[in-house]
Formats: sequence, C-alpha cells, structure tokens
Amino acid sequence: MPVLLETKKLTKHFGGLAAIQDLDLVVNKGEVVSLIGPNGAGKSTFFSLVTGFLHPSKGFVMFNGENISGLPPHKIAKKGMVRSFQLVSLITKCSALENVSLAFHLNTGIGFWETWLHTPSSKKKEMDILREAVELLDFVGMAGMQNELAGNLSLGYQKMLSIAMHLAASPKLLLLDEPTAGMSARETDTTIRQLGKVRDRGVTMMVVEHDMRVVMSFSDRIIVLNYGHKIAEGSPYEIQNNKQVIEAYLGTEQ
Amino acid sequence: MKIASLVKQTWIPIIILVLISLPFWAGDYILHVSIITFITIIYCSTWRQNLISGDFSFGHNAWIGIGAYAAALLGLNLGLSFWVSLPLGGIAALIVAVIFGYATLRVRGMYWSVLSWAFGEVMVAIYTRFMVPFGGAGGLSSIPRPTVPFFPEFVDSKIFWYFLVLVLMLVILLALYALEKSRFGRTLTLIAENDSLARSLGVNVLNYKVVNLAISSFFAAIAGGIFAYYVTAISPLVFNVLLVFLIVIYAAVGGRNHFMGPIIGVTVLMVLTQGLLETGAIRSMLLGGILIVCQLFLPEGLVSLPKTIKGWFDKRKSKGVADASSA
Repeated sequence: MPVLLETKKLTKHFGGLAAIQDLDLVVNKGEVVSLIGPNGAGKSTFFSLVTGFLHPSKGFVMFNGENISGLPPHKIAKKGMVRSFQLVSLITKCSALENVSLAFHLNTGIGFWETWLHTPSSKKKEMDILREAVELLDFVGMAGMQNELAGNLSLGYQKMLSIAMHLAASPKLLLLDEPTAGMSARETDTTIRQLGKVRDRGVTMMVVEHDMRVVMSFSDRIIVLNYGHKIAEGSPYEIQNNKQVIEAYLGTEQ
Repeated sequence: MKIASLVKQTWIPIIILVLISLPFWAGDYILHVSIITFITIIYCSTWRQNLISGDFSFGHNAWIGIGAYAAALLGLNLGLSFWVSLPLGGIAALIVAVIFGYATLRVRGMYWSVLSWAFGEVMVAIYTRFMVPFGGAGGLSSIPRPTVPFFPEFVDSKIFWYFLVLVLMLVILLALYALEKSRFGRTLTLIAENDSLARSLGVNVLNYKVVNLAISSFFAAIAGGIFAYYVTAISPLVFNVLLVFLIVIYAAVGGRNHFMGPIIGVTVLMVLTQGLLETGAIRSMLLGGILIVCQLFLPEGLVSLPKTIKGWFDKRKSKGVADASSA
C-alpha cells in the first residue's frame, strides 16, 4: 500500500515539556488508523502538528510524498489533509445546507469579482454546489434537515454535519478528533455506520477516540501514545493484549 | 394584519419618494443634516462590513481621515479635479489598509481592536504634528469646490450635494449588500464564527480579512473625501476616536448584526440628536442613554423592534387565551 502520511522524528516542546517526542508513524492509503492513549498523551497535539495549526520543534511531516512541515493549515487542507475538532465546530446561526455549501470553499471555482457581482456563471456554480451539498447531507443521513439551523440540531447530528462539511473539502486523509465524544450509545452506533460509509468512499482516516468499542470495531490499525511517545502499534487484537498498553491505561500490578 | 401587509408593500416607494422630493420642499438646514446623515451611514455601514469578518475596529477614523486628507491635498496641492482626487483618496486608504492589515490581522479579537485604535490615533497625531502638508492642528481649509459639468453654478447649492451624496451612498450600500450576500461575504461569517474551522477547510483567513478591511476602508475613505469637499475645511479633531465611538453607538442602536442596522441607527439618532438638540453635553447624554436602553431591552438593535413587539403581542394574546380558558 502506498504511504499517504509519514512523520519522522516529530517533536513538539511546550516550554520544557515534550508533548510529542521523536514520533515516527505511517498512515497508508485506504487505511483507518486509530490514535489512542490516556489524557495528555499528545493525540490532539499530533493532529495540530500534521495539519499546520502548530509548528513542529523538530522532525518533519510528509504528506503524499511531499514535505509539508511548516505549511499553514489552509495550504495543507488544499493538499488534501483535513482535520475536525473535538468541540463541535459549525456556524450555529446558519442552516445545515448553508454550512455544507460554505465548506465547499476549496472546490467552488468561483472568483472574487464573479461572486461579488453575482454573475450568472457564479449563480450556476452556486446551484451546483447546493446540489452537491444536498447529496452530502443525504450521505451522512441528514436528508430533510437541510433547513434546520445548525445550532438547533442535536449533538449527534451536529457531529454528522461537521463530518459532511469536512467531506466537502474532498480530503484524501481525514483526521477526526473524537467523533463520538458526548454521544449516546445509539448515536455512537449511527456514527460508526456513517464512518464506515465514508471509508467506502475511499477516504483514508485517522481517528482519535476514547470509546474502545468504536476503536476496536472500526480500525485496521491502532497506534498507542503515552507521554508523547509511541508505546505500541498493531491490529486491534494485538493492542488489546499488549502489556505496555494495559499498564499505560490501568497501571502496573503491585 | 392588513395594515402590516400595507406597510410592507408601501414603505419602499414612500422612502424613495421622500428621498427624491426632499430637496424641493425642505430647507437648507434639513438638506445639510441629510447630507451628513448619508455620509455617516457610509461610515457606519463600512465599519459593519469590517465587523463581518469578526474584526471590531476602533480605528475606522483612520480610513475616513486618510480619504479626507488625501483627497483634499490632491485638490489643494496638485490641483487635481474633485472627481479624480476622490477615488484616489479611496485608493490611498486601501493601500494603507492592505499594509496595516497584513501587519496586524493575525492578532485577533479585542487585541486587534486595540491595535486599530492605536493606529487611528497615530494618524491623528501625524496630521497634528506635520504642518506640511497636513496643516497641523488647524487642518486644511479652502478646499477647492468641485467643477460640475454643464451647470458650474450648481456647486454651491445644497441640492447638488444632496443628490451626489445620496447616489454615492446608494451605490456603496448596494456594493456592500452584494458583497455580504456573496460567497466571499458568507465565508467571512464562517471566519468570524470559527476561524480554526475555516482554516481547516482551506480558507486563507489572513487574506480574506485583509481584502475585507481594504474594501471597507476604500468606501469609508470615499465618504471621508466627500465630507472634506462638502465642508471645505478639515482638522485632525474631526477624525479622532470620538468619531468611531459615534459610529459604534449608531451601529449598536440600529443593530450591528443586520445590514439595515447602521442605516436605521444613524438615521434615527441623527434626527433625534441633530434635529432636537444642538448642545454637546446634552447630546452625549442622550446618546449614552439611548445606547444603554437599547442594549438592555433591544440587544439586537432597532432592526429587531418589529419582531420584539410582535413577540410581546403574541405573549399577551396567548396569556389572554390561557386566562380565558382557566376562567
């Protein structure tokens, strides 16, 4: 399998504290990789590092064979790596459809003067975008909710909506930061199903998650972080039986 | 209900009729207040355009001042025609805004507000400090009158200025409205609401903010330029931070989340404070009082008044129904 994302000796210091230390990892095309670890292990920091929200102190990030360390987030998004956020992020005062249609930012082909002057060509392109946005909402199971205000949706639907928005940016690699945090068991099941569909679209995914049910049922490979170090890597079965991982989560037996 | 729909259908034609006929029945004083009102509406609407990207500016006076001084100096020192120096004043502000924007718009929220405030005050200090070319504390006077094609004697009549400023205001408002409804404008809303999300979706946030600041400053500077040529004399005091406070109050009272907010806020407060009271202290007190009352009872501004009143009525009605059914 071709490599999509690779980090080499990736390190991030906050003052004297190393949030990520000499991290080497690889994500292959088409995989679903879960990143797990206790609180403060550096999972979200890792996402911020590879997507350009933070700059590495040392080491570098390769995406699609290109060195992208130090690039700003919008350029990395343009190259096809898009991240979601732990907190629900959308425009609460806009409708679900508007949210998704705005998320098409990278793929509109509408110029600045074109949209300011509201030319017929820009209107036509906007119509196309709306159609695609409706399709995406259908895809995440939100058909018929187009005109709901995003702020009025339940948490589960808000998270689905934000996944639709991130798909609108047509990512090659989607980084999901706790997609099921705060969800009910039923919402979690729906989310797992939807994420399975996203994977069937050919989107490679990397997921930070605390819900082990999601992690074990959904990932091809699991990477475990603790104190910024990679302590284990392997299939769900291997990880479940890894002594170091159990120690990191539960402590050692006296 | 019938009255409501009648109002809805007729208010636009009535406003147009009033605006067009005003010069033919109103005196010079009313025309003067109208002209200043139109100019202030441009100040206030461009300030709100700046706010759409989440940047609350306390330095809007800088753009107005640059437009006024640049247009006036081009006319005074280079003898350029009003019709050329006015847009050049706008471009001067636009260039300064692009430089200032790239230097500062990485800073967010309140911190940028403070930076913009400082910049506005620096501009005032520059006009005051340099006799050449800004005329120091005394400012510039005897700014040349524009030449009006075909009707050269027309320039001293208020009617000419009234229609000139009215048309300019309408064009600028139309441009700002189209911009707000465009994809560019809606992306600004996304940036204001959650700029990390915008960046992760591929938006170059800094560029968007700078372009928005440049557009807003360009139009504000045009309004400043026309103000300079209308009153024929400007001084640094006119463009200090108090001007921004007025703009912010107008926008807050009218409703800063709505396109009509600045227009309604400026019109209502201008009529109330110019028409009824001339003295400075009482005017400030009245403005402050109105601002406080509005923030307490109409946080969305006067634009939301119809909705709020309807809400009260609905509440009373449903309460009445509840009382009736319980009795």
